[in-house]
Amino acid sequence: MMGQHLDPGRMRLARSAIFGVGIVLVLALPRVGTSDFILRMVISVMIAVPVALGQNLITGFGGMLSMGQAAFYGIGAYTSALLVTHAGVPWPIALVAAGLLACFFGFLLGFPCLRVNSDYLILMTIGFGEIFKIVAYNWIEVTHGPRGIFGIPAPQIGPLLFDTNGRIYYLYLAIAGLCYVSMKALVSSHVGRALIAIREDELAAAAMGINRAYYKILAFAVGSFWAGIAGSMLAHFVSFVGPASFTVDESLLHLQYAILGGLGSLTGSVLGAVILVSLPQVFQPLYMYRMLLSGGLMVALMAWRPQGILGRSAAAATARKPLRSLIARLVTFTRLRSAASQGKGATRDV
Amino acid sequence: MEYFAKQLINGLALGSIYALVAVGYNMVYGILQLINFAHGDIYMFGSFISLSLSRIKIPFAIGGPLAALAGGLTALVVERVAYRPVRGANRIVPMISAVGAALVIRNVALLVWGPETFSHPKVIPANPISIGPFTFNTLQLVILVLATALMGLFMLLVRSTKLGKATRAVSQDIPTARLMGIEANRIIQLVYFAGGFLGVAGGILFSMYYAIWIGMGFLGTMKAWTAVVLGGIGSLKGAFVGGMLLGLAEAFISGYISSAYRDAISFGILMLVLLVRPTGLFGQQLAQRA
Repeated sequence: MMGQHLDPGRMRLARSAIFGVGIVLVLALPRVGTSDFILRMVISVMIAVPVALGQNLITGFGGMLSMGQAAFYGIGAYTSALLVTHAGVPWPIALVAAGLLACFFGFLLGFPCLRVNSDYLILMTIGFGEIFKIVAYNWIEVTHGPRGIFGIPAPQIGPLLFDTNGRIYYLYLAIAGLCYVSMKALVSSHVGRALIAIREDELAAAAMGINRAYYKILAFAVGSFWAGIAGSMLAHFVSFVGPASFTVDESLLHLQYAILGGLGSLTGSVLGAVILVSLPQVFQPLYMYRMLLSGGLMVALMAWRPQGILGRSAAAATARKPLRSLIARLVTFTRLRSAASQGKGATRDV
Repeated sequence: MEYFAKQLINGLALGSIYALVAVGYNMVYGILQLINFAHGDIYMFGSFISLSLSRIKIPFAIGGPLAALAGGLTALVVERVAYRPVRGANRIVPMISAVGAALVIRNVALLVWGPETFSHPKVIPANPISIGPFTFNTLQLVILVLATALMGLFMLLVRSTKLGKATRAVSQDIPTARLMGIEANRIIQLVYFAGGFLGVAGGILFSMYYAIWIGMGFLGTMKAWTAVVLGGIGSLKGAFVGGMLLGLAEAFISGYISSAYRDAISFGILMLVLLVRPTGLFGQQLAQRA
């Protein structure tokens, strides 16, 4: 590994520098006359972040390939929208309720998933997503069917109304940040280690006394909770929810966020969300081909780099300092380039 | 009674189409333990090719088999590009690759044919026939006979030819089959080809019976998978029975309960079966790969 050749002090410095610049840039963005288009895009990324992190907890850490994340996202969106528009519940309560209800369904779906192997799990989660979609289309009295729910108000905490993109930006940044920090704490704790142990070898983990059922269901519940929160964020940002936003294609997209960045890497999931949300919007002509390209990307990624951009090897794609590995990789790359230009033989060990 | 008979026949026709699609799916699963996510999309792709061939006035007797052949070839390409490079990698990897391949096929089809729903020319006329309380049409009869015949032929091939024996050997243990001088890769290709071929045959029948649209691919994958789970993984007989059961269940659900919730209920049944009897009705106990 090239990472070991690097001076740890300089590594740390480079890391803090990148973090610092990143945070300042993100905080300053709405204040420097950024266009509405960019702001909306970044907000969309922030909505995608909890979904991506939740998916990564389930799939990357728990090793359970779930393709039903969009259903939890949808449950959150509908719950929050209905509570605020019909019952007049204040937004913060609706937000938490959205997360909790999604969490509850995730918990319920977690149970049958314990009994079946990974192939059936995928089928179960798709089945759950399809059932959600069909109910959303047909339960007209509640969901208004294909028409969806219009006129969802902007988020409001007491007297604070977040009705402009600039205000929503900071609110959602806080939520996404909270999600990242809590997820980081979770995967760095014994829970993360237990999940990784189960993912790597279920039998061995059980033999070590790890309660498989508990941790798997926990991963499902927490992952679904954040998807529900993201659903609520979406509903109050675009002020509309309709069943077409929560199809299996959406679930696939969520899976891609986690895969592209690297399963088992939280920074990777954020990066995956950034890339997959913003690229098709920045390069509008790409929009039409986005599913085609992302499908091709999945195939290519699995063949050449199954651990994703920031992950380590497929077997050990854990949360081991992905940013550091990115820096190490960049340094290696420049070294290889200079070595190649000097005509020396360079080994490929990235 | 007449209503019941109508649903019964409807279910049998639908079931035999599902069975046809499920057999190919199950073969692939039996050999590689890989969920062939692209299976339904190949079935959709081939059906669209058949539609295009019929539009340029190629008679169905040539166009139909040609489209099925194209489906088989598509399956070969998918196997080579998306599945073989990741064979033997950790379990989650080939599955993601398969999902990616399905997305590519679906979106290529979307670019070529567009999102509309088309009707495939009904080459086989739907003349009503009635025997006692049973009223059915020739299309349903042909579907039932053709699907059963194709499947019977396929099962015969697997059961009693040398090639079929090799296929069964590969499905039990690839390394050992190799040691016995069986070219495993060749067999795997053959299975994919056969799966694509049978799938498209089912797809063309389906599009004549209902309609043809992009979304039928994903739906097909799910239906095939449900049928396989119902009947039992890795058993051809199971795929056949499972497909029939699923078709009948759907016909009766939409006839007696609610057609809007038909798919929701059939997915619910699937989840229930997985919980109660994860090996399906005819499945042998698969050793859990821990």
